[in-house]
Amino acid sequence: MTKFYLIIGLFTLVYSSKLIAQDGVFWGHTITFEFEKIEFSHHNDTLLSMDFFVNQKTVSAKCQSLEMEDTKTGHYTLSYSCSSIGGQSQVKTIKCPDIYLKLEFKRSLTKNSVNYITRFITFVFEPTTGPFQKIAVPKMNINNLLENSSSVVIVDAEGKYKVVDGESMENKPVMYHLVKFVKK
Amino acid sequence: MKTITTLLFLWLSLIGFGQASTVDTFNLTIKFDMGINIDSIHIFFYETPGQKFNSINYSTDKSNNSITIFGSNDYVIGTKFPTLVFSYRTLESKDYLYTNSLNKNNHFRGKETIETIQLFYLIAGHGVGSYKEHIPAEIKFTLEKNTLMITKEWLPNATVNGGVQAKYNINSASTDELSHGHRFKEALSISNKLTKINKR
Repeated sequence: MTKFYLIIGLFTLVYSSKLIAQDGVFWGHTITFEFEKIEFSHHNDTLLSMDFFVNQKTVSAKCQSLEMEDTKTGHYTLSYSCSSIGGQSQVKTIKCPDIYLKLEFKRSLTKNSVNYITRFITFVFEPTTGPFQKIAVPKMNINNLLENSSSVVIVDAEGKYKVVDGESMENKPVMYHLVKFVKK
Repeated sequence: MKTITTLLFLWLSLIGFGQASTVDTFNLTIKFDMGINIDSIHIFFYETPGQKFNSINYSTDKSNNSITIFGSNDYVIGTKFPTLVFSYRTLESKDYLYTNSLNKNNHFRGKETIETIQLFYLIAGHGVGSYKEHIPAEIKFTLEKNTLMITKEWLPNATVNGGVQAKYNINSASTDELSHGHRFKEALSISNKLTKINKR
């Protein structure tokens, strides 16, 4: 009987050396945006919709609960949470995925002719420390961003932003698979 | 007087420049994998310097799940046909089981509709100012290969080739390839201004 326990013990020891334990990792971000009133360059323009999307391709893990809250005109709070298995149990730095603000306009050219124009404003985030951080982006003028069609907004961990020309970026942010933030 | 006129022309030649431009009609059929519902696709084009559409519309053919884009464009020779963006919108309803954090036995169900947009890009490569000639090869998008680039290769002797002057090549790339700095990405503009193409 002792020999049997010894075999079982040795088997467990050998087998345990091949086992790998993996922790669940959880993280997310809450991002607040504030925009000035949009002034249309064409007097015949009408804003039809304004939605936020996340570029799912820049997220390697399972992300859900993409929510958007607009309590005040021009104020938007976005939140999302992600989970994955493996890696470090303590998330030190984490990058918020690229966020796209989609604006749909209707432009009346003549009485019977209408053009629909869609603009995407790209927000690229620099990594933040800690698993659940809040990023408060200061008030922004969208009109300036719409003037240059390749404008990309880069937001740092404190929420400060700078506008760059996306075409000159080393790693151009390209939209692939967008998932919409659901209005709460 | 002659000297003044000559000097005036010389001065004008310094500040003026000419660009050759042309107008072409195009007709391009793009197939989609049968799993993609073409009724849920909206089509846009990126505004491109040197390219102007006199007209652009599209029609669908459900029998072979294809979209035909047709119209006429006025363009400066050497500029590329604008990138066409096909936006495929899907809605997925998901059920969730929530647990009350104060009372673990208290569960309640919730429903959430998730809207996703998958983008397909059709990029014109070097020498493709318009799609005036028939492209013999099949142009087909799948969920995996969502970026296509059409390039044009001029053939040296059209008379030998039965009057065919150019050969078109279609190359595809997946999003994974693109996210790793694929050469297509270089050709893909990130312009945020998209104009919708109307169905006819």
